[in-house]
Amino acid sequence: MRFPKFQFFHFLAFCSAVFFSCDPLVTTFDDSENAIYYEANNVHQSAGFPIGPFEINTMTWNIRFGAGILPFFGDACGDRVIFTAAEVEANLEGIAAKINSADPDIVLLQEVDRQSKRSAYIDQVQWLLDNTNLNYGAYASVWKAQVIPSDGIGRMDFGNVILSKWELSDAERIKLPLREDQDALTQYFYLRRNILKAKVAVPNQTEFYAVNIHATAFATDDTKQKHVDTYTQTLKDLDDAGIGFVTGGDLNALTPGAASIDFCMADICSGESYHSDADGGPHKDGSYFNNFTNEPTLLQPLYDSYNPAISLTNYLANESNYFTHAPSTGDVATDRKLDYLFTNLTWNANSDSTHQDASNWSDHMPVTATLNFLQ
Amino acid sequence: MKHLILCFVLVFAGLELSAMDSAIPLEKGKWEVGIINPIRFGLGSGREISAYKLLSLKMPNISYKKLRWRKWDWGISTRHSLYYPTPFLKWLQSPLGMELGDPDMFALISPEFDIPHMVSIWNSVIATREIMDDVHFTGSAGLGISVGANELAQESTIDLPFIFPRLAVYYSGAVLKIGSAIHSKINKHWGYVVSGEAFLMPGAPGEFAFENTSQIEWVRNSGFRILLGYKMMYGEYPFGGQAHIFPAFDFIWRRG
Repeated sequence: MRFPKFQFFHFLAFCSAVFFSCDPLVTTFDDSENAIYYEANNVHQSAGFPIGPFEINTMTWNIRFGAGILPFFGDACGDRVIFTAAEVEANLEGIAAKINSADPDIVLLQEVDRQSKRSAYIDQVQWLLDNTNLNYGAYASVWKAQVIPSDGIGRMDFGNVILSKWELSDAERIKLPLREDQDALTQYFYLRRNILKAKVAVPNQTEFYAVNIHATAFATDDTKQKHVDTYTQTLKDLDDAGIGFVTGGDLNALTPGAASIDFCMADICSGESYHSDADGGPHKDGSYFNNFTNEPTLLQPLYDSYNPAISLTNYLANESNYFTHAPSTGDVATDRKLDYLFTNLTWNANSDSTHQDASNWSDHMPVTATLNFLQ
Repeated sequence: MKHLILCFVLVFAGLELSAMDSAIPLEKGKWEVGIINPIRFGLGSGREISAYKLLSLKMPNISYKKLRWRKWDWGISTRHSLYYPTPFLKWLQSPLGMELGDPDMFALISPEFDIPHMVSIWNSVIATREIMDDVHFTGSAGLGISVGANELAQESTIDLPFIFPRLAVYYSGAVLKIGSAIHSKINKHWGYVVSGEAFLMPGAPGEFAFENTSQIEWVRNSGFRILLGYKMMYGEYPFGGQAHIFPAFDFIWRRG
């Protein structure tokens, strides 16, 4: 059988038209983009719509992409990069059990992997929806690339998540400034942090939002200041519009008045050499909280403008009760508070809890508190 | 940046981007070399050896092709190839030689994994026929098996186009490759190549891949030609299916 030559050109043109990849090597984002919606495979009808005034249980938790306290090379003095599906699922089961026992209505999660090689490509948003009492989710990528050409990390998609028993809408990814203390190549492949904002269909509330943030951890310049500035402006816009919200996340910032601002020696890994603040550095990235003017009081405007789940008075009276982060070495228990909940509504008195018993499932501890619409 | 470029040249150029293949070996004493295509040398009596030269820096490899049957318009050859990927995969764990804890820049495999000594052996049948004047059709089918790869961690795959299916044999134990190509001359200086190749990888974390290469050929003379076009691929990876398209080019010299 013989084929006319022109058919091969037609075949070539057909292939060119049909097969084309639109995924960039690294995904970049506009200032504002729609988030990605999720829904549990089995929506729990009991989530229902109570009549009259009621309470909303809220939680924030940086779940460390289901790596638990395994020795990840990036933040734990470890030599692990890629975790097995069994390891990740075991940690997710612990996280889901904790969420189910606390029974929050709205959860703000940070460091959630969706399609990442390091966590066996498990879609952790869907997994958590299918294994908790929560029904709906919104996701905004922080780090998305077909390959991260370093340390064998490979494909990456991790980000911030809002989970809720009630439907979410108007979910928006708000871009935060990139670090400026990196070379261009590193910056291109590095994290692109964001604020995730979504409208929650809370019963009897015309408008109620959840706002989730994961601010920079390792910047040595004033990037963190810019992140908090964008965050406070986002909250102010909602507040000025008379819209109620619950907000929080991993702010990677200390509580104003915290006794210690230098954790370099607590976080030091074998073979590393750092000095205390008194020596003038060098400091370990992410372990030192005085990189720019007023960094130790960075969160004061949030405390001044909104209601914290844990008041400054309570925190400063007994700091260790409220620590949410354990040093990356794994040798020491929690030693600093980095995770917060705020609202422009009202918390139930003494409803807050810092779940330091969850230390097996992440290097961050969940914080919960209850919003009271009665008051 | 130069290291990144070197890394990708080694990885992609070394891993058989070539669309050119034929059952007909080079004549005795003739050799052919391309930037992307392998270096080939005719041994005479219907025999040819070839190797991917850039890849050989890190992955020693050699192929032997033998014309088995030539009758009517058909030529049928067998090709037998051997690859030793261990140094290459180890190099991909730390291309710049830095230890874990420092940035292992450009590492595509985590240094946490042990890379065992292993080889893959490929045996293929290649058939070529002139289906019309100056138009050659080539079909091929081959089976690759790996030896010594049992200890290789399944999590150490490189989940990227071109690379994943070519290394899948070390994760699945066996891979079946089938392909076809059309090479046509339009006139003295111009021609084209269209080829397709499918990888069946049962047991690997992604079990199927297909590649299509389409290139225009410009022939300066019998000693030099240029190929320019694209290479498209659809493949299954541990995370799901994905398609890619890349430019594909080569400069090929022939002597002898």
